[in-house]
Amino acid sequence: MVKQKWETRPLEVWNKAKELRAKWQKSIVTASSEKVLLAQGNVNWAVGFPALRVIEDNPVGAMMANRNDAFSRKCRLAGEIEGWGREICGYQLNCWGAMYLGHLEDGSPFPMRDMVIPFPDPCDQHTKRGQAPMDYSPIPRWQANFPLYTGPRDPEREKAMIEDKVQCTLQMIEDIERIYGQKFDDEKFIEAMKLSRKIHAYAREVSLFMRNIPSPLSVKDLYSFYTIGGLTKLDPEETLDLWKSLRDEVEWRVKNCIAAVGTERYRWMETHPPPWHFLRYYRYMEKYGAVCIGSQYSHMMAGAFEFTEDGTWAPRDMFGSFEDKPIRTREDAIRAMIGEDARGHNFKVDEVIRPYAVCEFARAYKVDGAILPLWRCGVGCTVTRKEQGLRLSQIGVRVLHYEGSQPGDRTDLDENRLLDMLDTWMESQGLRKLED
Amino acid sequence: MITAGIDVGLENLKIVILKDGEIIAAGSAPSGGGKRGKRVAELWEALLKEAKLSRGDVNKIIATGQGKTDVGFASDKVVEAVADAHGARFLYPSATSVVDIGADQTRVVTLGEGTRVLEVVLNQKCAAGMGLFLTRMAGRLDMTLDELSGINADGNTGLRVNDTCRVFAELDALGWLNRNASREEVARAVIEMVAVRINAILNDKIKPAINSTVLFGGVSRNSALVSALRRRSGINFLISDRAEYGCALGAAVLAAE
Amino acid sequence: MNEEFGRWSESRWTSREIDWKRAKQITAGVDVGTTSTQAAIICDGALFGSASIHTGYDFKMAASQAMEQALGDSDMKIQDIQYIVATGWGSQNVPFAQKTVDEVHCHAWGARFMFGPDVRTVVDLGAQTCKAIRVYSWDRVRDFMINDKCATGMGRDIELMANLLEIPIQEMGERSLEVEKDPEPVSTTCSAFADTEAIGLFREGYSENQVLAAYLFAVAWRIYGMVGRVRPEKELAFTGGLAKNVGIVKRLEREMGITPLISQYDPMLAGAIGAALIGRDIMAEI
Repeated sequence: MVKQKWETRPLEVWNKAKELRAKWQKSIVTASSEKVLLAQGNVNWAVGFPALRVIEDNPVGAMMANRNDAFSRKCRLAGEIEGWGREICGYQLNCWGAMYLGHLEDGSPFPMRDMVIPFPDPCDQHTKRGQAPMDYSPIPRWQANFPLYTGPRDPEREKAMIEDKVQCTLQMIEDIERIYGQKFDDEKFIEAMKLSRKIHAYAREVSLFMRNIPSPLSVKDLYSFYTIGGLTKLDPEETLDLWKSLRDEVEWRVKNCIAAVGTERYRWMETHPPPWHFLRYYRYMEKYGAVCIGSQYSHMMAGAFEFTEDGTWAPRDMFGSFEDKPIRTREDAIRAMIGEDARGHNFKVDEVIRPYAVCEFARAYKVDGAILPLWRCGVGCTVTRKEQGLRLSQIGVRVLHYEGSQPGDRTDLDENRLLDMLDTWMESQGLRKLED
Repeated sequence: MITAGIDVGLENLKIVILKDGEIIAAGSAPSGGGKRGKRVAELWEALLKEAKLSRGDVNKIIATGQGKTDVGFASDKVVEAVADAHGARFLYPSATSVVDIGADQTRVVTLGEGTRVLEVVLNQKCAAGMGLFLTRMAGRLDMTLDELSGINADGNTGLRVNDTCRVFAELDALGWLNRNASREEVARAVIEMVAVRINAILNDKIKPAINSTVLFGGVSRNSALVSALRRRSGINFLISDRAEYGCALGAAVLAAE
Repeated sequence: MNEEFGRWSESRWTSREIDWKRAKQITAGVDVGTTSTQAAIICDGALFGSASIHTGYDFKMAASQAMEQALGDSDMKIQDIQYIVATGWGSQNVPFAQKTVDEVHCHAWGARFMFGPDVRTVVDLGAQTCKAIRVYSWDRVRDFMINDKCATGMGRDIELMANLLEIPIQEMGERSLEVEKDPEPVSTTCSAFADTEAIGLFREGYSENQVLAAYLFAVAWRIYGMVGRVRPEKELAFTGGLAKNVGIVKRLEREMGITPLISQYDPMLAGAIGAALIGRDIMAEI
């Protein structure tokens, strides 16, 4: 029996999260029978439409890969046979492969999309995500721009970027209203944005609590929550309630020194989760007393990061910032939605064009090491990854790189090799396993 | 005190027996894939006999290498990077880095105080198999490894092969033979490719120092490759005649601590 | 590393029955591949002699040697051959050939000879490349696929695996089928990933047969992805060196749901035989 430094116990709020997720999954499956339009993509304003649901190829693609390699492989093969390159994002290939096969893992018919509204992201694969359903059947696509720029902050430029996105979004909503005859419920959208802000606030607190030594949560715990808020546009109240419960429980854990990993003696970060079928690598690292506190990616519900007044790197506080304006109209709500993303260091944007964010995160969250994966099929994630490793190394954080295809794709993860690399990484830092 | 280090690599096994700071026996054999457990036992018996020892004479055995878990009779295991650190320190007390180039893996270990390790850079899958590549190419060119090693790697030649991946490199090499390039020219291109790839790994994170970097691993016996690597990296590698056994030696040294 | 395990057997055969001096048409084909070189001599539409040897580093020499071995100890000389066609990756290294023809047509024609006129899909499983050819009939190619560069060299990697595992290459296929259930395949991206990943499986307690199964499943899967693109249909024939690997063939059969035809001829000869047959037709036109 390994001697624990701190007390541990499982999260109580976890079951609630599981329930919400199951509810969301069901709603996707029943979308077609309920005569609800299914949009490929992910936008917050979809909640304003009474009969519109958004779904990405992810996490469906990820969940598939996690549970059933044989089916996932068949899907990817079906995609390849249609002409997709193997180095297309695994989430996509899993999902579109199922579309070509015509069914999901359990045999139920594949939920065909009615339109495409891609999640705007600098990831090249995200942009591609609309292509497969559009090639398959004639459905429309709406697209907002996602402008990026390198170089120092330029307020004028950012103002123009925000304006452009606001106008694009207003136009899209009007188009959908007109074309599909659905009335956009401004009240619902406004309420959802107000709640979203509150969710961000709770998520922010949870994120900040993870700076504590010992960390009350490991990133593995966060995975039950980190996309909730994005997923359950069905019921923002329930989501808010969930995050509040999580925040309260984490606060209590910190007060009472309850750790995620009772033997915590090493803290590490990542920039991206591992292949979803291999989450046991967190458990493997815990054998060394090493806890993973995540990355800006897994803290994404906390929103954009930036330097706070006291000079530390933290998720932006919406309340009391320039974003904290009253939300009264549709346009206000859109501005609030966009403003949350703009001005600040989203994990993806900053990794792509300003790789110092990872260093700031490492410093703020007091990490000793960083594991940075290199994805052959996830170009949007992997770009500047080696540079990030170099910069982290320069500030004294030990770095490990390993290769894989992409989190939704098992193909290129050599598990035994990775475990060997983890052993080498830990032992060369003077840490031997505490348990077998 | 008598200790032993057993390094079970992808292609070859290496065993070193150390007595009071002196190497009294060292040997290697092909690992043989799934047969490696048996192979280790056979080589172990052979070396014990050579050193005129019985099993009980050996105080401690530490296993390392990819197949370390297949050495049932070892009392402990150590990762290769740590073994390399011990081996390098043992042979060259003022070493600051050790580069170990094997059949499958390449490691760059930066040493700190004593046998402390400051940094380890490992090859990625995409740069794996450098040793295997050289062995395969030698066979293909109908040369022994010694003949390949004797190539003048610093002669000027326009012939290059892809230096990202050994599969593409082999394809390119065959392409040159198809176009009637000489074996020597192709051999030189192949060696240069390996030097380029390894130099990239050397330049990742902490660049090893010019005059205090040790070279371990089977590939260190290829003089042509060492020459090309020296030229590209500027490093004057410290190469012991036991370089191939460096990792196994390190495990034996650790066992004696 | 003992390279004898990966060294597949060469072969040669020359007919003792056919009286070549009575033949009206004698043509030959030489197929120079990256790893194997084949020669085939056709006398009036019948196979007179054939050979399959290791290419080595000298492609010109390989072509000559294969030709010599196909002639065997018959008293036919190379000058007696009326028309010689070269094909394959190294076809420019057959100075004694009159013409070069692409591998696709040569394999299609060769497959027809070896497997019969009902062949519609030919899958050539070589050391360097794998190709899938769909034909309308034996002289009209309908569609053609070749593996991505990233899946190149599968055949050669199997030689390497044989050496690392110290299992004779001709036994690998059969042994890979002696498993209760196919394990998950190893990486299907690149053969260099596949072999080290496969050897890593010993650590998980896999037996040699299971490791072979995981590895060959990956090879088969990779090939299937490529073949699937031409939408294979019956009758299907496998040619090339890997067609002799029952571990790959059986798994392809399983995934595609098509039972391939069998031939009495060595599948490696398809390109050379096809080249010789095309030589006949070219002669007829002259």
